[in-house]
Amino acid sequence: MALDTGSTGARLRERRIAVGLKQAELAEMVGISASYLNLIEHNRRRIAGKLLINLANALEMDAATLSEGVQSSLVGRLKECASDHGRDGQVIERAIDFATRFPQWAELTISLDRKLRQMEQTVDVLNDRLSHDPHLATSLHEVLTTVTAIRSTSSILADTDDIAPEWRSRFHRNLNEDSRRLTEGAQALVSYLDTSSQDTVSIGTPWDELDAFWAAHEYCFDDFDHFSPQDWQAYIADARELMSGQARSLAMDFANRYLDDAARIPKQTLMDAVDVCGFDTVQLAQAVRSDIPTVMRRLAFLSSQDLGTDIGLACCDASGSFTMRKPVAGFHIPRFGSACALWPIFAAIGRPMAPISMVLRHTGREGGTFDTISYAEVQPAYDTTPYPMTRSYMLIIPRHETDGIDPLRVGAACRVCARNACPARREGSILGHQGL
Amino acid sequence: MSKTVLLIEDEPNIIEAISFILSRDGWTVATHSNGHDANDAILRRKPDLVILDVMLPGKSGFDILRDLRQDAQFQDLPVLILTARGQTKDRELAQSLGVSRFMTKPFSNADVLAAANDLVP
Repeated sequence: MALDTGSTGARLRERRIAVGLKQAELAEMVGISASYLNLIEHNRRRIAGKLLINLANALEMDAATLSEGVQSSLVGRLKECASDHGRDGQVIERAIDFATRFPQWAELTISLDRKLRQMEQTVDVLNDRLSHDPHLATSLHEVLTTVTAIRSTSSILADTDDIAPEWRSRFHRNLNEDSRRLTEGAQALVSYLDTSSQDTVSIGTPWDELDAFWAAHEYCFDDFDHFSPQDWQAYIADARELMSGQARSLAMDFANRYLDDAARIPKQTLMDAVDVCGFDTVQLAQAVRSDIPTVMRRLAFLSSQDLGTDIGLACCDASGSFTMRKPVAGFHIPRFGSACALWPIFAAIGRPMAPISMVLRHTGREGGTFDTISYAEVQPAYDTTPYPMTRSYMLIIPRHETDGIDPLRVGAACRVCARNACPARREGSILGHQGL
Repeated sequence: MSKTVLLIEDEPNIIEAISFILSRDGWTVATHSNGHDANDAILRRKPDLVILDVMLPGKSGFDILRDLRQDAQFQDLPVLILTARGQTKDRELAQSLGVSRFMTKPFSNADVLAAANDLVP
């Protein structure tokens, strides 16, 4: 599903004016600068993902309408919906029949499907959150422990007739102490859940902060190519997405590597090479006399406007944990290391230094088709490790031509994947009967 | 001679409550409130029963139990685990490590007393 950038900006502008908001007002509502919003409205920046959703929410309109336009074909969406739900040829053939005879029912089907997608995404986020939230586990444990002391103490007071006065007053004091502690624990828990439910993808770990920092810059840093490390340091210290010291230090590591990469492959050199080789990363690396991972990182952090397409990048270590994720519309990369084992980024770990090119079709509701190149580099073993350390990359480029190819169908993570009969399935899907 | 129990738990008010219940029933109660030297405490006191919390400072109740069962003289020592972590996987882990009884917090005083007297008649 290609985003119609040509008119997203126009629709956005039209709607904003209709609602009576100034650019600056809308920009503030979604936490971006007015000048950035201006670029979006004039279609000079493509938007997707969270910013698109935030803008749609702020303007009280549907995100899909904003990105696709109201004219988008009912039939096309019905077909997509049917094929995503694993229906075969005949059902898809009859979509036109259905849409013509029962247009309202067709609309309803599509809106239910859209609701389902949103819920999937929410479940995904909440799921990530619950299973990786040490704060929640600690708070609950504290509450349970205090309840235990209160229950045991109060039942002693209630059930013991001949309790000595000094014991009685001691238990009363304990009860008083514990009930106060329980109150605090319960309040802390409620306020924690309260703040976290305001925004289910709210900032959590330092990595989340870094993700937010990248997203706020739309993963493009070419204005920073000639920054000195000191400039970066000052910039990072001021960045409002980077609240924790740990996040700032991760951002500084990123900045240092970015500067290194930018010095090794200047932007113009890369753009010239792209004109000749396209996004064939192996050829690009030869053309600019650099290595594949550096080329991948450079491509991922150039603006989609310069490149003419969005490009996603995932980077993981040998345990499969992501150390960098730049998602691209239609290719969801889970926040924590429980991604789809079919992704070639993981196969590359077993075949280091050998690039793997693969066309992937993402099974998610908004999944698209992508050209990917995966490559694992190996860092030599040092005294502290008995074997070399591997770092694997996967560059993800949306593919619009899908005729005559047979993409590998992959998911984001098993729980939200609709693929049947998958050799890599680890757990059942919440989407239906796709069991292990 | 009365039966002896060593209570390994780090919450003072829970220690106080359990000690009270067991003492009134005629048990001699000793307490220990951290994980790292809990095994030494068991070795030193040789109680008839150990009541063990899981989340302890220094060393978890599971590790204490594992180390305890390595020692031949403690292979049959009754151990009652009392924990706020009552998930199936915790229960299964405790069982695989040779726990005698597994109870979750919050507990009823009567149940703890009954379990203690059941384990050491």
